[in-house]
Amino acid sequence: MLQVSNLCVHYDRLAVVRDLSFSVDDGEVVTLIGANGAGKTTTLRALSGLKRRTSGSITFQGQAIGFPRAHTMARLGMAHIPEGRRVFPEMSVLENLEMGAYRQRSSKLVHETVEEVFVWFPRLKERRDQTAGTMSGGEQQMLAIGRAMMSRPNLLLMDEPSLGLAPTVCAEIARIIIALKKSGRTIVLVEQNARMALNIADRAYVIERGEVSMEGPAAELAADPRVKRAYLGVA
Amino acid sequence: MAMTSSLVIQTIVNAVVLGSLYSLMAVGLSLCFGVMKMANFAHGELVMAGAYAVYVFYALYGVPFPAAVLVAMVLIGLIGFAVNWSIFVPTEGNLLAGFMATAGLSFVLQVLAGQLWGFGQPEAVPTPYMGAADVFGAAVGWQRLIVVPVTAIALGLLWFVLARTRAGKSLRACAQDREAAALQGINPRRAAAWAMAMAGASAGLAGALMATIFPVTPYMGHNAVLVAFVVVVLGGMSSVQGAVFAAFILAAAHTISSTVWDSVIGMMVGVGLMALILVLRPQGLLGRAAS
Repeated sequence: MLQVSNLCVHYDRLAVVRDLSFSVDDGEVVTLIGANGAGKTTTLRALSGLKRRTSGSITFQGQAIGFPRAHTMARLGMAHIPEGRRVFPEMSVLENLEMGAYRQRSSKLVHETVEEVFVWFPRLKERRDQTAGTMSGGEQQMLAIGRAMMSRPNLLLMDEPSLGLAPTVCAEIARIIIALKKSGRTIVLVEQNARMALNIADRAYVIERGEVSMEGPAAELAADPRVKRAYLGVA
Repeated sequence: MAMTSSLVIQTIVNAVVLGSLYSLMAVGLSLCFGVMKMANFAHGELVMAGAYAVYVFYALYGVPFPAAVLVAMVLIGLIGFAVNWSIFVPTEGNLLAGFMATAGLSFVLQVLAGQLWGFGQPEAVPTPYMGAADVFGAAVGWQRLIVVPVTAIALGLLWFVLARTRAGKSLRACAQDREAAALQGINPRRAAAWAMAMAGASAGLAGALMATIFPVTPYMGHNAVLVAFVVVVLGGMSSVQGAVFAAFILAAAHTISSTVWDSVIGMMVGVGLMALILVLRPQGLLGRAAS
């Protein structure tokens, strides 16, 4: 599904991501964990075209990806749920979902997809006419995920879906991601909440200062003493 | 001074007519603020160009007035499109460069208009609709009165496009979060091009309607851009509804203070109002506080 090789990304002269390589297979949930500022968000931004990479190659669905801008990348079947949810605050829930299916011109298909998303998120159905900016953080995260699903993507990039949410809401979001995984979706999950991410994911990469420091099956990494000490808060 | 009832009505009607023109001047500017986060300092010259379009097509070539107004809208819409392509695309993300380039463009357009049609006497555009209507005992020229329904139709159309159409919603999405919009497959540059075309068309319409009411001069954009900026700041940057609301408030302030004192004081009151709002409510009257 996705191969990233030797990815380098700079902000001005500062290398935020250097020589980062990872891959994602079909139907797999892969997590990138690491401390704040390790380069996880930048990696996702480089994948979705929000940030231009300095070097390295990206192969998506067997196709080498050049340097497209974000709106072109979205059309290739990659849906990026950005950090901080970034729903359209002054639009209704329904309008937000419609924007997610912007490339779909058939309003019948858009409507069908909206109904599918409502099955996943009954809460969004209840709030379909509510202004997105007035919803709680958890609801906005659901809307951000629902909006991404509207384009029927082949790959979901999730950036910190648990950020700023209360523990019970985090657990709800985690259940949703697990359900998405069970439905066969391919997901790249970026998280600071390593415990949650390692519980959900099949495989994990630990990112430190823009590089992969460890990789392996999520369960193995969760049991690794170094990961436990550094990311799971276990002595 | 006892204001007679007809003077009161006259003042109200004047305020509504002026408010309509101010709305048309300001909605385009606020749309561009929203979608591109750029200020077009040549916006007033788009209004001026709209007035000259009516002068040329209606007064010089005898095209019927409504047709001349439509031509002005299309023509200035295209100029807006060109401004986006030639200035806002190359200076994307560089506020200062966009400011300098559009400020420069405003002088270029003024001089161009002056070279083509003269700097001295204002152009006289004859009134296509003679006579006056009796509005509750006050006589109001048809020429002024016609501004109100035309503006209502134009703003209604703009509302419909922004609220109901796919393209309009994509403009709002870009205005609310440009990156998030791009992630949905919306091309922000295309949204910017449409926003500038619509800004041009609305500014052109404002100028076209002004042409038969106010003197047409190369410098008429000065006042228009000042009004548009005051209105946009009052109404909250990038809030189109806020801009319309603020346009009528500013027009009322201008009309009342010009009736009681004079038009210079009227303009001072308007700018004073803007300063007051900037201090008390920087997000504008209807704007949302930045989160």
